[in-house]
Amino acid sequence: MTLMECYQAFGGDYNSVTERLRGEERVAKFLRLFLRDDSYANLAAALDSGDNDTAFRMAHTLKGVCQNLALDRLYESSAALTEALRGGAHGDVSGLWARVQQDYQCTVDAVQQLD
Amino acid sequence: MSNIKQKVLIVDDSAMNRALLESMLEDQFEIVERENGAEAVELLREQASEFSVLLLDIQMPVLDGFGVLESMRRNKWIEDLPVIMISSETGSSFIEQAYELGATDYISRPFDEAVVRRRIENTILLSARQRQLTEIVVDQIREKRKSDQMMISILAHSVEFRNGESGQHVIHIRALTRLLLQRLLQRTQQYPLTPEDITLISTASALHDVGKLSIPDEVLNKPGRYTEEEYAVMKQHAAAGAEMIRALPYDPNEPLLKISYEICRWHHERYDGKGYPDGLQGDAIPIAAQVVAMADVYDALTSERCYKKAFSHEQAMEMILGGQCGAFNPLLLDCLEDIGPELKHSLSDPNWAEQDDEQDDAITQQLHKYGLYSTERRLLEQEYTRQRLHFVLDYANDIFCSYMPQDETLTLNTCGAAQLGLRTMIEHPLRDPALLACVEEASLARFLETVRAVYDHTRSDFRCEMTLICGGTPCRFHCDGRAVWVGSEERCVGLIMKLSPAEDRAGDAERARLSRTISNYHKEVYTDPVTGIQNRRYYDDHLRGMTEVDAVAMMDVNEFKHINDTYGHLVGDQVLRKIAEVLQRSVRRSDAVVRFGGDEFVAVFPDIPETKFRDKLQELETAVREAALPDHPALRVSISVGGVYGPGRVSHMIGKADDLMYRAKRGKDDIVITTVVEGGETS
Repeated sequence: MTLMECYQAFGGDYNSVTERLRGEERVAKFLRLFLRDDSYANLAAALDSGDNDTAFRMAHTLKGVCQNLALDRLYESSAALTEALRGGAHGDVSGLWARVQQDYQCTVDAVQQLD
Repeated sequence: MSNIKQKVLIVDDSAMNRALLESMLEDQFEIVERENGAEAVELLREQASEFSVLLLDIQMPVLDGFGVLESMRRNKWIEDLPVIMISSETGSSFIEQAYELGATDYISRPFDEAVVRRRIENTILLSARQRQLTEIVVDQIREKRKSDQMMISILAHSVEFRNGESGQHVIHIRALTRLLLQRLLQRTQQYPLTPEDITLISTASALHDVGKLSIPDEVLNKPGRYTEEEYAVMKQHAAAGAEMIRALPYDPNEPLLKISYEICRWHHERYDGKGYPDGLQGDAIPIAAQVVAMADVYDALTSERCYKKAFSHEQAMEMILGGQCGAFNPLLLDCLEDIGPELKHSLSDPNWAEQDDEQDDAITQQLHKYGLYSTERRLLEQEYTRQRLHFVLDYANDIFCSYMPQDETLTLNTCGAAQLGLRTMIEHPLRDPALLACVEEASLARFLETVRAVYDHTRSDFRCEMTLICGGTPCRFHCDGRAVWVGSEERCVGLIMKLSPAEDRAGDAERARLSRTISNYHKEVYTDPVTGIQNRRYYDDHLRGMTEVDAVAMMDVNEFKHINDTYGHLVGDQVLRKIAEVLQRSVRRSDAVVRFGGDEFVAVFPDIPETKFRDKLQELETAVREAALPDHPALRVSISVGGVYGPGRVSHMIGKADDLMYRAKRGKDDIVITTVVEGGETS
């Protein structure tokens, strides 16, 4: 899968990211690093244990990384989750979390098929 | 440029973000990373001065970015180390708080390599320049202070020379006074002393014995013990000195004169009331005089005089602390003990009293207090302007580009870059193959000729035709340009150009007619026929769903039914028209005012600081109250206003604003404003 196809697959902005980061090579390198980034795993763990403060921070971090790599779809869902978790007071976030999980899986699958 | 790379500290809890920034900057800077605020503060404690700039995230574990800024401010690192925020928080309250706490700049996400580099370079340059200016001013103030002190010293020395002393006494007294006062300030808040006061008191201390000019030679320089009459004459020097100061033709409330008077008159008073000339007791003796008295005694003991040998530091301390030289304020005795080791050490160093570093610090602090605040405001305003400009350019349908001669960079807006298939930032455009391939050769020559003529005659606006290759096909464009000149030297700082497609005239006319029709239709659908401003439908289609809006307001005309009943519906309509006109005129261009229905109006403020929002609502309320109808000058109307400060979704905030407006109507207030904070609310 080429980088452009990869961005199409997970709903990201290929043009913006390659221009901002000056070239495909660096983008691909950071996408692969993204697979090893632990903010998603930490987010899952924090939600699991009901640690709202950490969950908020991890969602926030994930959102920031997505923004930088133009992972637009995952950015949208993680941003929504971040705002729902902000301030510690919130109701049920399981719907938002399910969307993040789905978008994350889709992103990871595409990146793993990158040439 | 030096070969040593400047150091940049990146503080962000996301390793990905740190790595990304590092890869953008590593060729130009030396990068140091920390993953939370606490670690950053620990590092800065040791090495703050080694870094040229700090890139700081906000949301972090242990200690967040605001905590780091606060600590930097407390420790005064912020004065020399500029901070650029790199958080993905974009709410204006976050940005504003960061600026308030001393951040210099804000880089929004997503990171763009060219932008990140340029902002860091600019920040480093700006802070270096500011540091340079501070040094110049400090130098000048120091020079001036030095010559003031020299004049005072010359006067004071003339007293001492008459006394057969070396002239060291006043210098020692000044240094001792400063040390004692600084220690006192560290120990207690009891005396309201500023760094400025300390400088004034130590300067005035040199004059403590000026009254001795009035004492006859034979008494002043008598070796051996005084008789009782001689001692009485000698004691007159205190009051005499004070009278000399008072007799000066200056305002006696000038701080230097006031303090000099106190020191001259009361530097022989003692804490138990057994001193002279007035026998004042305790803190009835001004603190300046108490401190100088102690400094005077210590220096007299440790110096050689015509009637005695010098005592050692230990002997002098023992005599003073033991009460052999009269009673002193216990607090000051503690201070003297505290600085004892420093005094002992200093006795062996003939130059110790001449160091002025502390004064420089005081001057620098003053400067920061004045200077940095205005810089912060200016940068905040610059950021808003920059954001607005970017917004306009991003959504424009024409090609916009600007060229900066000093760094030979051409910048294109999003639309331009997309149409021509170029990057948005091009360094050395005339050597850039991609750009050159886009411009027809003859066009380029013609363009350069036009620009050269503009340069040669320092003109500003120019215009030419160009053929550019868009997606492989040559297209003709009108180019409108402007050269921006600044300063008395008439330096050109940039060229700004707009390129719009030049189609044949018939096509142009057709398109213009079509777009007029569309915009007429658009206008008709969304305009309220009574008031001429936007209507409820516009609100529903365009405003209602907006998110991340800073503020909204709901407004309703007071006793509108009464106006309709009394004056008739035609006048009622006039009132609504007038209010709409006033509201429309009073809000900014970026805000929206809508007639919501009946006598209700809604205003939406996408981007406004909270204080400004509050002022704005007050302004709207007053403007309506002051508006008059030409046909009915006696008829005055007022509105009730409910305001909500978010940020949030318009539809959500409007509901709250409506409640508040009714609260305003029921109560006596004209305006009720609530700030919504993350789900909860505070009034």
